[in-house]
Amino acid sequence: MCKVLNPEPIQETIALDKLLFEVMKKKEAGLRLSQICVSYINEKYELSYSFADDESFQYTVLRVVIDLYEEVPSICKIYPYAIFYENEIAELYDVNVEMIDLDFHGKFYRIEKEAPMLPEGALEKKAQEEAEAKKRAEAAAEPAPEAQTEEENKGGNN
Amino acid sequence: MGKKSVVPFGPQHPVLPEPIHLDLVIEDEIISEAIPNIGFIHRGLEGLVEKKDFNEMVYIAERTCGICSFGHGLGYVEAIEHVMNIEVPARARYLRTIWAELGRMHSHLLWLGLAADAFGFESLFYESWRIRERILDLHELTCGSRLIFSVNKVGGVIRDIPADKLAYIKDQILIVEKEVKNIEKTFLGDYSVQTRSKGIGLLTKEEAHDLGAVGPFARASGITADLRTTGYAAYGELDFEPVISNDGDCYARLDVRIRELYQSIDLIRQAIDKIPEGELEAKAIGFPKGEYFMRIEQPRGEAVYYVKGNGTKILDRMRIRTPTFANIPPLCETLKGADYADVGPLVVSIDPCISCTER
Amino acid sequence: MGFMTFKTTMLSNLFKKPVTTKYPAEPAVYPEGSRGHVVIEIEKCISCTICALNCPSGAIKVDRAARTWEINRYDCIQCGYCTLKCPKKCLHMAPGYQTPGPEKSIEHYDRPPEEEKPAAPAANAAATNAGDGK
Repeated sequence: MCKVLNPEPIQETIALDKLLFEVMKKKEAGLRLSQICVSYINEKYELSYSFADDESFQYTVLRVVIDLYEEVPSICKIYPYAIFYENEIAELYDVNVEMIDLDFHGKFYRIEKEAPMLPEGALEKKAQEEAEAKKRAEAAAEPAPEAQTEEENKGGNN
Repeated sequence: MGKKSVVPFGPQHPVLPEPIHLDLVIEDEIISEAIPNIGFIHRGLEGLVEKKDFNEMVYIAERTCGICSFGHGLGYVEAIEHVMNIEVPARARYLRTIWAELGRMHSHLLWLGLAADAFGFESLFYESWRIRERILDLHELTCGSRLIFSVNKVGGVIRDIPADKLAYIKDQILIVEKEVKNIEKTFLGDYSVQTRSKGIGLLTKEEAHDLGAVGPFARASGITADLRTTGYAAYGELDFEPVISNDGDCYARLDVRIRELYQSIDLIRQAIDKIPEGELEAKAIGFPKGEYFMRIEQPRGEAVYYVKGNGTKILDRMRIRTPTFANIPPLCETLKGADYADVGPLVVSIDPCISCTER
Repeated sequence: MGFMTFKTTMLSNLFKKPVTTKYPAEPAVYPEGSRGHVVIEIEKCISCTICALNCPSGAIKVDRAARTWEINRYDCIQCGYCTLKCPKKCLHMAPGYQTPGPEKSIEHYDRPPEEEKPAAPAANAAATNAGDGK
């Protein structure tokens, strides 16, 4: 009989800002990037980065759940061949992936329709969420004195 | 310093089985860089998941590619069975193994013909494909069709192979073995084939690991990774060792694939001897809920099948990552420093199956 | 390292007859399990439309009211799913592929007309007898 090695796949869910650090740890352990996949579930993107160990056949999956408008950094500086997967998810699902080394700008598969895998109305929702996020960012960046005077007024009324 | 020019290779080229475009930056007939470009055969098969239920998706998944079609059906069905926790009966697992190895043999024989055609040796091309016809006749006898098998279903297989047909398969692959021994003398021993393949397209073990090569392409550079060791279908009960070579050039890839042909013949014989009696399928109750990543060893390397179900009969997502998608970056690396006349045999030596790549 | 290692195969192939068959002069031989085209036994059909709903390519069309069954053989992908799903098992795969033609055509089958049901009074009498028997 051949020796059967079949460990259970490991899945870890991480936050977006920890992505580069976790990918760096996988590179340090000598794993090979197997694939990058994206799904559109419940109006959010679920990214799955899969890493494979060719000695022990252990399969590890990093899961990142992001909002539609969030920007994802490219991991091509760590794994150079990730550019294909990232161009594909940027073209088929319109994920905002930044800083890809060889960026085809939506011409990887040369499909006429924009983001063909997304259901109807998803692109408009994404534009809407992006506009709302921008407004929230601008409101948060407003100078502090206005907030202080509001508080004094409230204290005075009480 | 020579003059740099950019030469487009493909998508139409006599050596390529399927369209791929490479922009080759050459300087005095030596290539300094290769920029790949795919997208000529994208059909959007993953988008059909929204319309077809998970039983019909087997027929869509196996039509992704004509050469590796059994592997796609098998990988998808195994992924759904993992999600739904179905235990496939033993006879069905052995039958799947026999069909998977027959598929591997026909794919390698097809590739040997294309490799011979890339060197310019057309009679060897016709001889390899004539041997392959015997395997396609075996497919038609057992599954009903020469290339697209349609025997997999969620929970087992649809058709059985009775004992007299199993004995017939054993006789036929004995004849195939003798014929392959005959052409092996030419493939590995002939002076002209060796001049065109030894030392061409060298890929060291570190480069293959850093660039994510899979399948016989990586095994020819010394990486011992054969996914059949994880024991899906009936491979856990059969005896085999991964076939590797340490040279890393085109000749090593020829050698690895010919030895894998002999290994497949041996695996089919072992499976036919050990196949137990039993049922062909297990009842599949309910709908898939959950997700799973399934990996199988296609003739070209590691293929990943991801399915995600939400408890209804329509799946959320199905994704296929095929081995050629992972082999294109190492190809662009081996092209650096190669002679312009060697581009054809080099591109064919990774066994490109572009219709799987783009689905 | 050998020179002209292919010469024995080449010379023997020169004197053997060709491996190709002279199709269409000689008829094509298909093995028995071959999935060529779909055949229906129309007497057993009950127009449940399960085959039409499950066909991956939409080649089958069933009209319940008119009791017909149509198949577009040029759209059929010979997968055999309809033969698995039919509850009355009236669909089978038979060898022989659809021959090419200048345009796509649809094959049409009509179910035989309904037989007259036995007269109602006989059924009522049987029911009252059963009631009295209790």
